[in-house]
Parts: sequence; C-alpha cells; structure tokens
Amino acid sequence: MLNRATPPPFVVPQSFSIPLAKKHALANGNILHSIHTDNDALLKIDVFFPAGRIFQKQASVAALTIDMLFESTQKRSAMQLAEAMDFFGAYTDYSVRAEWASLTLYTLNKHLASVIPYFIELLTLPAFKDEELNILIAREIQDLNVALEKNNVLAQHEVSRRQWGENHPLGMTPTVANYHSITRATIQGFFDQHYKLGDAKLFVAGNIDDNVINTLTQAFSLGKKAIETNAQLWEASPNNSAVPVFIEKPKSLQAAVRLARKHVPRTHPDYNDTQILNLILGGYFGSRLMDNLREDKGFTYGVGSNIADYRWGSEWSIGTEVKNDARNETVSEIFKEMKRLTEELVEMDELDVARNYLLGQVLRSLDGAYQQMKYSETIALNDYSYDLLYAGFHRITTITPEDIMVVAKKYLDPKDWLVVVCGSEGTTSAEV
Amino acid sequence: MINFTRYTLENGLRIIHHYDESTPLAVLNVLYDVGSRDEDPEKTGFAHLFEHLMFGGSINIEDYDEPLQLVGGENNAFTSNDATNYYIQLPAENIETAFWLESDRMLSLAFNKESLDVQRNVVCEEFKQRYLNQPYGDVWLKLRPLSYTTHPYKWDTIGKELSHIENATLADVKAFFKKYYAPNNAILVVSGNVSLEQSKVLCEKWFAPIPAAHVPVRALPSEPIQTSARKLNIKANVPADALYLAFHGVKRNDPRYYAMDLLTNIFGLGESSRLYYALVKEKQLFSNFSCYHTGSFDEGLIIFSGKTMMGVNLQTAEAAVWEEIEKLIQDGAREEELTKVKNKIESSHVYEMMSLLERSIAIAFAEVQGDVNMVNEEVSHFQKVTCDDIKTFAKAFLTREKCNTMYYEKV
Repeated sequence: MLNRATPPPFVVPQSFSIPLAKKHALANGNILHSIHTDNDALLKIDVFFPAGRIFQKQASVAALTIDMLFESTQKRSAMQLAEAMDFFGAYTDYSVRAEWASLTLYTLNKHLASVIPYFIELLTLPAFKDEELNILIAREIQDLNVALEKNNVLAQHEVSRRQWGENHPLGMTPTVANYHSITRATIQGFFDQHYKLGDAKLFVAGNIDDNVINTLTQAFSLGKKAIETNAQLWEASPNNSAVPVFIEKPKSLQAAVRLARKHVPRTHPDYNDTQILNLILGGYFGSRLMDNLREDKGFTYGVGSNIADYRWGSEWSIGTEVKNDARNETVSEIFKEMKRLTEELVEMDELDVARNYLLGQVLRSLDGAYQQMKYSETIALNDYSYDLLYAGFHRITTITPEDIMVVAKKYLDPKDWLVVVCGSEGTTSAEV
Repeated sequence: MINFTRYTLENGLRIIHHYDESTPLAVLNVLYDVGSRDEDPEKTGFAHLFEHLMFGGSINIEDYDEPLQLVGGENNAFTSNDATNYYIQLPAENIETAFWLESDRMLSLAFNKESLDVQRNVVCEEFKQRYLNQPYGDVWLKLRPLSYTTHPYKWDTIGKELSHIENATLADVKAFFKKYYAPNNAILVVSGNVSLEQSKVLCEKWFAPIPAAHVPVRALPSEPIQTSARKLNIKANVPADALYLAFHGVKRNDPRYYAMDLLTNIFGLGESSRLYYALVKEKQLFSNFSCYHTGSFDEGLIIFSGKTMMGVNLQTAEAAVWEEIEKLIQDGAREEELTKVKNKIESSHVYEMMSLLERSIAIAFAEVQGDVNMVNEEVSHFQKVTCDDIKTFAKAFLTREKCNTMYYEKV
C-alpha cells in the first residue's frame, strides 16, 4: 500500500556556479559582455545608460527621454523606424530604474545584421520633435489621471515623497503641472548628458557565434568612451515615525497599505541576513504576513515585502491591498509580526523551509542564458565582485535563528518605518 | 522542435513527457478540463474559487505549500473560461515531491470549512482588487453579458457577482470536485531533467491508483450568430472615456484561427500597427489603442478598445475605428504587412518556448484541445495564411450588425 502521508526524500541544492560572461573589447574602449547557450534562442541585447531617475532635476524626465527614443530619428519617422524593426520580427523593451535606464532588443540571429542599424539609430540619433513630445506628454497626463485613481499608486507616491523628500530626484512624483513644464530642451539636455554610447554597459545573451560578436562590436563602437557619471545622491533624510499617514480616497472598497524604510546596500555585512529576514516576514507565499493577513484572516488577495537594491543603498518596502475596514488592523498586525521577529527566535523548521525555498530560487535564477546574464549585469553595473554574490548564496545555508534576531532588532524597529494608508474613513465593506 | 512522449494510464490520465537535459529543473503541470464555461449559471466563479481551495490541504497532506517550499519548489495556478491549470517548478532531483503533492489533491481534498471560509474571503478581496476597486476594472463584467446571449462565456471567470462566491457552501464545493477533478479529466505534463523511465515509474506509483470518475460530456449551449448590433452605455467615475468594440471570432481549433490572429496583429500589434498609427499617432483620438482576441477554445471575442484623448467625443472616435476596419475589408492587407506580423509571431514563439514552464503549459493546452502536435505545428499554420484569407475573414466577421459596442464614459 502506497504511503501518502510521508513526504518523499529530497535533496537541497548546495553549490551554484554563476557562468562568467565573456568580455569582448570594442574599438572605442568599451566592453561587450556575452553569454552563450546552445539552444535555439532569440538574441537578447541589453544596453544600459547611466540615465536613471536619480539624475533627473524634475519628475518624469528620465522616463520621457527614453520614451522619446522610440519616436522619430533624424533619418526617419517613428512609423518608418517601427515598421523597419517590426518587419524583421524584432521586439524592443525598456526600463528606467533609479540609477540606470536600459533598452533591450530581441531578435532572431538570422535578422541581427538587418535590425541592428535601426537599433543604433534609435539610440544615437533621436530627433526629439516638439510635436511628438507634446503628444506623448498629453498621453502621459491621461495615463497619470488613470493611475491617480488607484489607491496603491497614491500610497506609493506618498511613500516616495516622504522617503526621499519632494526635491530629491527619487522623491519627485509626477504631476500634470510638471508634465506641462517639460520642453524639448529639457529632454535634449538629459539625453546629451546621459546617453553616450561609449559609456553604455553592453550585454548579449543567446546563441553567440563570431558573426554575432563581429556585428555587435562594430555596431557599438560608435562614440567615444567618456567619463562615467556616478550618482552618489543617496543620502536623504527620511522622516519616518510608524504613525500612519492617511490619505482619504472616498468610497474605497479596499485600502492600500504601504510601509517603507531606507536600507543598507548589498555590500553591507547585514544585507544578506536581512534578505532572509525579509523572506520570512513577507517575501514569499509561505511568509508570516501572507499566513497572517491572507491565509488566516482573509483580509487580502496578497501581501508582499521586498528589498530593492540600488548601488548605494536599498529600499525595503511592504505592500498590500486589504478590505477597507481592516486597514488599521492590518498595520498593527504587520508591526506585531515585526515585533515577534525581534523577540522570539525563528523555529528551525520555519527557517529551513525559507532557506530551501530560497536555494530553489537561486537555482531557477541561474537557469538559461538570459537569467544568467542578470548576474553579470549586476556585477558590471555596480562594480561588484563575483565573491560578493557567492557570499550571498553561502549565507543562505549558514544563517541561524540567532543571526536573524540580531538583524530583526536592528532593522525592524517601528520608528524607522514610514507607514502610508490610502482608503476611506467613511465607508466599511458592509456598506457597499 | 519540442520532443515529447505521450501515453495514457488505465484510469484515463493522459501523460506527456518532455525531456530537457539542459536545465537543472523540472516542471509538473496538471491541467483539469474544466473552466468557468462549465459552471452553473446560478453558481458562477466556482472553477476559480475551487482553484484557491486546491491549496487548502488534501486528504493526506495538511499543507500544500510548505512541503514544496522545503524542497526548493514553487507553484501557481490559473483558471480561464476554458480550463484550470496548476504547475510546480522545482529542482529536478526533487520531482517526486511534486508527484506526491499533485496526486494527493487529485485523490481528494481535505474539505474543511475554515479553508473554505478563508478562501471565500480571499477571492472576494481579489474580486474587489482586480474588478471593482480599479478604474475600468469591471469592463469584462459588462462586456461579456453584452456580447454573449447564450454561451457561458457571458460571465467572467471571477463570477457574475460577489454573492455567488459569498454563498458557496461546502456541499457545492464537494460536488464540483467530484464532477471534474478526476484523472480521466486531467492532463499531466512531466518536463525538464527527468528521464522517461523515471517519469513512468512515478506516474504509475502516484497517479495510477486514483480511480476514474464519471465525467459529464460537455454540452454547452452555442452562441447564435449575431444578426443585429448591440450597444451599452456605462457611466462611471473614471478620468477618460473609453470605447470597446467586441465581435465574435472562431474557435481555437478552427482553420481560420490563424487568419484571425494575424488580422488582430495587423490592427494592433506594436507601434507600426494600423490602429496605433492612425488613431493614436496621426489623428490623436486615443491615448492608447489595442486590438486582440481572447484566444478562447469556443468562439471567443475580437476586441478593439482604447481610451480617448480629452475633448474627443466617442462617436468621432468610433467612426475613426470603423473607417480603419472598412479600409481593410475594402483593400485587404499589404503583403509586407502580413510578412511583418508573421515574423513577429515567429520570434515571439521562439521566445515563449525558451521557458520550460511555458513549454509545459503549451503542451497541456494543445493536448486538451485534441492535438498535442499543435505545439510544433503552429508556426507553419501561420506561415500559410494569405492576404486574401485576412480580407475574407475581416469581411465575414467584422461587420456592423455583429458588433457589440460599449461606451464607458466618465461622469
């Protein structure tokens, strides 16, 4: 008879290796990083510019600049450019983070040579036409108005403003008036300063052969290597107090709850321990907050806690959307869970579940060339060493409940946390 | 090319094994052939509520998630109008844990009242978070009943209304399980770094002992061909007006499916698509515009939708959409335009199939629709579509009397 009550034996993944990206020298002194896979694959080409939000002097400029790169160039209209790249089945993507702005090109190997000139044109020869900027801004304003109807967006904006200060590049939040004050010159100025191909960090993952490398090293050799602009604007003065800041949004069925604090950088000795602490608190489906707020009380569809890394520091945040009339209890339950971590040692069973889950995550994060490239990007963008990342892996297996309590006491003090709640004071769920 | 081996256990469970030695991972994917289209019209939202209950403990295993996390795995599930799909991704050496967990909940759930109470609340919060507490969140709750008079696609997977979920009883839930959660109504995909031999041994050990059940033959009312246009005006507290046009399309396994898909891509995929160019860039009537189809197994919907720019009235915006539709019906698609969308499909297909999980899900969905070979043959079906096929399809399906129009206006 099959014994269904006893779990099958298992093994825990123990050792990991991060494949080193190959480095290819470009004529202009820059470097192209590559990771090869034998499988049929699309090529994924990532170009990072030091053009993140931290460099902007007013809100939304970093995002608008990268948006405008997909409009007309000095050689052809936006439509012609899009059509040319679409014709070869290429996909593009982009993102703006705190420090870096990146553009991604996906293309089949067979179309690389045809597509890459258009991609380079897009990166280097934007026309920044007034008319196109005005249309884009009108659309952004429309999208902003939609976003401002959402409790979680309102709460997040409030967190950013309070966490960084309204005049800090990361604390500036978009407003209609601000959008109206952005001109072609603002965008051109930001581009000229931050989008220099010679300074870009370059990565390609996929089925790499000499052909791919030759095509890319030639294409990216445009432009001179200049001196990097480093952002060290990390110090700001958060004004946290654990007393919830309340934003009234009439007739809310749900309230958005956000907690945040500024946190140490990845190079700090406490960083890895707090990542594991974060996991246990709210970082995965088996976390204490998920158990408490979703599985036990049914207040929410989900709750998450996350440490977002930047080069000079990190931001720790907790977010959820809960039944409007459970909003206050949610905040107190979150603080209760934090307090418990500072007072009671985590049971070994619970720690093992968290640590094994995390080891599985590491294994997943190393599966495939695109995934592996993320590690090389982290290293190259932040001047980290491989050893730093390996130390993070190693810590997962060696951390003890006592170690966790030490960092819990240090970083989960309510007075260091900012709390923002957006919901309605007037309504309860029963009334709707 | 995706390699696979297909076989069936005596209890009717269909198994597809897909071996990939390049990864340290394995996936166990279970698809149950039940979706919200199979629900009682008075008890909608059940397929999805049930998906939540599948994580509330099974007959021999109190907690589903924790033992999986302990072996480094993660899981999730989704419910559509057509099917319910569960997957586990974990280190390949630990694949047996996935077999243990999935087979036990196929055998029977624990069915405790506390779990039902909590998950009912969680689903109600999901209903609010995604459908009610968002600008435009309830669009599908309005558009489905407008577009379908008869077929159960007229309700959304979340359910017609909160009360259907709030009133769910333990007896309802048990009956649903008994009816649909059986090996002969499921498809199991084992993929990744697990040998066929090992997979066969594990399937035999964990799934073969589960008895087959009597699963009702699906007999859904079909949607009559629409002969007159339907319109709905909604007023809500939103920042911009929005327009929705919905037309009935073809079934997923209809030969014309590929023309339908390419047609919507010509209209709506990317910044060089016709509608983005004409309506967003040139005429600046909309702040965004999309055209897509729902990809449903039965006759799904082809949707044209966008939010208008401030000061543009919906009639003008709607007329401009029709102008583009009629231009395509009149002149057809251009050859290079068709090549473009075919090339886009080829690269997005390669992209999706790079992921072991995506491959596993695609295999399960192809099998449930009757032909697992579809996962390898799809791209060639797209290649065969001609400009004439596109024009013929548009002419037959995108007509004014078959259109369901919804104005979503700000107050």
